[in-house]
Amino acid sequence: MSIMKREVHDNIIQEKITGLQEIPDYISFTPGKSWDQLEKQLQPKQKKKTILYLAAAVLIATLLISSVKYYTVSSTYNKKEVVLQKSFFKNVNPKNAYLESVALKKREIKSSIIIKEKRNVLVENIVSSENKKMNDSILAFEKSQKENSIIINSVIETNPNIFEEPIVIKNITEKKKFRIIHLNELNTPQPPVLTLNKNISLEEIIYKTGNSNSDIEIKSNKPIFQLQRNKSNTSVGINENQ
Amino acid sequence: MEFNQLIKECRKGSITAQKYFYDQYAVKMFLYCRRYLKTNEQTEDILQNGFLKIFKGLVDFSFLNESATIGWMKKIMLNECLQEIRKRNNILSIAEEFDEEIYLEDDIVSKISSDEIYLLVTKIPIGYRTVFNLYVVEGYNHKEIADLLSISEGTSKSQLSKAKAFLQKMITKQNEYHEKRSSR
Repeated sequence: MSIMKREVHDNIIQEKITGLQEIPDYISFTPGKSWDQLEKQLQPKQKKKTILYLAAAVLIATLLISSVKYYTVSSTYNKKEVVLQKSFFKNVNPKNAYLESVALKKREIKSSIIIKEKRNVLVENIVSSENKKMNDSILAFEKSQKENSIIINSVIETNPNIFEEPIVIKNITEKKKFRIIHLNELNTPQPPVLTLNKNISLEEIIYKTGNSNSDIEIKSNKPIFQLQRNKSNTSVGINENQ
Repeated sequence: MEFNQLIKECRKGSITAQKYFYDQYAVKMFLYCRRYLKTNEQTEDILQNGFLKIFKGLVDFSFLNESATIGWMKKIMLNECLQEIRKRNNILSIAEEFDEEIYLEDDIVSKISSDEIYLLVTKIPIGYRTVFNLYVVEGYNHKEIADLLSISEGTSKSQLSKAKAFLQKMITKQNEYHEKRSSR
């Protein structure tokens, strides 16, 4: 078959095939059914888009709300307008929202005043008690000073040179000195010491010693001196000397 | 609705516009795909995929005229079909033998209706049919076909000769059948 013939045949076939506009009877195709399936595949993308738009809208709304809140705190924005805006976002009746906000503000102010009053009362109490203590201590000090001055005056009267002599201040922390006892002496009894009887009066002593010029006889059985044994015992002596 | 306006609406993602677009071109594209594929079901699946790609591609598509748009749509559909054919390993890439063609009178070919020709083409084995469609109907040359199907030019030529021989035999048979029916 010549090339020319072939091309003619090809052209006829091409025209016939491309010229076919309707589906032949032997082919079953329902465009509607196919579209339903295609629509299902198309819709998720639409849904995704709408979800994206919704998410963006929500984000913008939250940003707006947060900015409005920030603005109300930081600026001298008309409070009534802000409340109205808030009520718009919260879907509340604007009038009620404003009244509620005013009541809330009043409550807050009241509570703050009460707290302030309580704080003031507490401070006053503390200050007055502290003042009282101070006054008491001052009075006590003044009283003690007065007493001291009386004592000092009386001392000066009796012994005027007492303050002229240098006063030697003894070391309070100085240790008490004890007599050194030998170990052999610990068991041996200490010799008794004669001490002046404290229970006898000065008049009795004078009378008994014969230095009195009075004729009144003072009868007394009390001795002038009394024997007093040293209380030193072994254990105490050792310990204290150490 | 004007075609340009329709394209704009489809770009926006309007379902009604897309439905209208689909209704306009579904049959044409189905017939186009069915020439390459084996079954109606397979063709419907490919048609849906093709339309999805068309609607997606319309966003970046620069509109010139309707015929250019149809050409672009056909290209998308062809790629889908060839992908499906490759997936099913239906392309015969080994044979490089040439079948002897039968002499056909011009009248015989022209006597057969479009429906009959279409039916005969869909009866050609897939390997031959792809090359036949690309060469005879789409107008590709053997080099282009070889590139598209990843086969050699020789394979393309042999596939075409086999397809033509097969079709000529079928046309002859069809003609004989018609003659018998008319003689009765």
